[in-house]
Amino acid sequence: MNNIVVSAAALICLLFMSACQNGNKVEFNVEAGEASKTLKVFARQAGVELLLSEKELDGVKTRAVSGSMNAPDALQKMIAGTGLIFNRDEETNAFAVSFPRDE
Amino acid sequence: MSGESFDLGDLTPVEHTAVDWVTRVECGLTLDERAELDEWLNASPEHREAYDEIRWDWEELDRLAGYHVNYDSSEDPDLIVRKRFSPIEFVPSEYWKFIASAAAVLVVALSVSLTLKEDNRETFAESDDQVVVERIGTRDLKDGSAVKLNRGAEIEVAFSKSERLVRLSQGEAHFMVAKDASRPFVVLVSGVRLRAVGTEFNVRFAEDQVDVIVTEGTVSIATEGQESSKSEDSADALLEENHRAIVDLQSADRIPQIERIETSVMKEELLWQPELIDFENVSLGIIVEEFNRRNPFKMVIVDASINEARMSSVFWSDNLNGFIRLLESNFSVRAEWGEDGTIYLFTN
Repeated sequence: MNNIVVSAAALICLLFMSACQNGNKVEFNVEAGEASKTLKVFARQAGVELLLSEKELDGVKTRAVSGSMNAPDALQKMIAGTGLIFNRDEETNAFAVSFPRDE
Repeated sequence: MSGESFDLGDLTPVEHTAVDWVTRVECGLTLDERAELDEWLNASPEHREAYDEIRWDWEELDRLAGYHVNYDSSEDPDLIVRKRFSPIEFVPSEYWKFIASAAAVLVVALSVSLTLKEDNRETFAESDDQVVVERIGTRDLKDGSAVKLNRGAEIEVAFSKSERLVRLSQGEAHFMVAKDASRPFVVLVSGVRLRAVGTEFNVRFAEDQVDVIVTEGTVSIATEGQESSKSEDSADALLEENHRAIVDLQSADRIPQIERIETSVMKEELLWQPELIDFENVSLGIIVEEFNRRNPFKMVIVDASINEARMSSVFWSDNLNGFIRLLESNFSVRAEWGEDGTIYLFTN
């Protein structure tokens, strides 16, 4: 029985590996508004860690997002059109949102 | 063994649910999901047994995939397809084909995942000298209790029908004990015996002393020296909430020194336990200071402009590496790790 469970677990885990890379789907309901406020609402709803620069986000407004989706998709929808980018730390699933740096 | 074929539908509903939970845990749970998992685990011993078995199997896959390999690890001679995928015993041909297929898929996935992992590390590792600061782990026990393990802590668990025994062989752990009046929860630390029914307490095992702080409920404490000279009932001293006992392991009698401590002192002693660093519009210096209070590795801000940058954060205090990587990737910070583990932050 152990071998059956292991093999089954192996296959099912593999099937979900790609889902793990992008995160589980979460029900989001974030209103449009000041980025420094809305992005923290996003973090609470997604259950993720977040780092922001207040100075950069001053005056920036994000879009509303609602519905079931994974965290990166929700964040992308929120910051669309603002020029902001985000990075996700692959090891810990933490996010940072900022403007692109000059190379 | 017959010639019947196998498919995933042969898993029981409980095993299906256990597999689903293990994969969700790997992706990360919100607080509500964590509560939901705890409720399912506590609903039946069968749930916990299936979860523990699948969890162990997943961790074996993770080990093979090298997810927990740190920068200093040497080559792992055990990083091979394990015996369970080899035809050690005679099995029906259909069953063996399924196992062979699963092994083949696993090998492909391992190759892909190893490649991806290397790429991600190149993206975020600015310096090859970075120290990987381990996160604080929580281990769930079969009785519904949980143990937070500080970095380097080691425990051994031996539950029986009459007693729940845990040995702390190294480091520091915080025990959150599920109530079970029929089976006392006993922690053994270098000859010190702690007994609880349903409570929370912290135990720190250093070379020369055992330090116990009770954060909830009551714990009895006895030492080998006391037990040999008195009856079992009279040997135990009781520690209540906000009480601390220190046992000097160098002394002959090992009598616990017990005192009541202020809540502020208790919180200071338990800073190692992860908490959310939740700040809004504060200087980065304040956020760094909070990380430094709670971690063995300290950050030093070298450039004043970094110190004054206004930031907001929602970050677990033990996620030091993640915090530094994101500072580097998004906020023009460069981190240099000193030989003593100090992390120096410069403007990039």
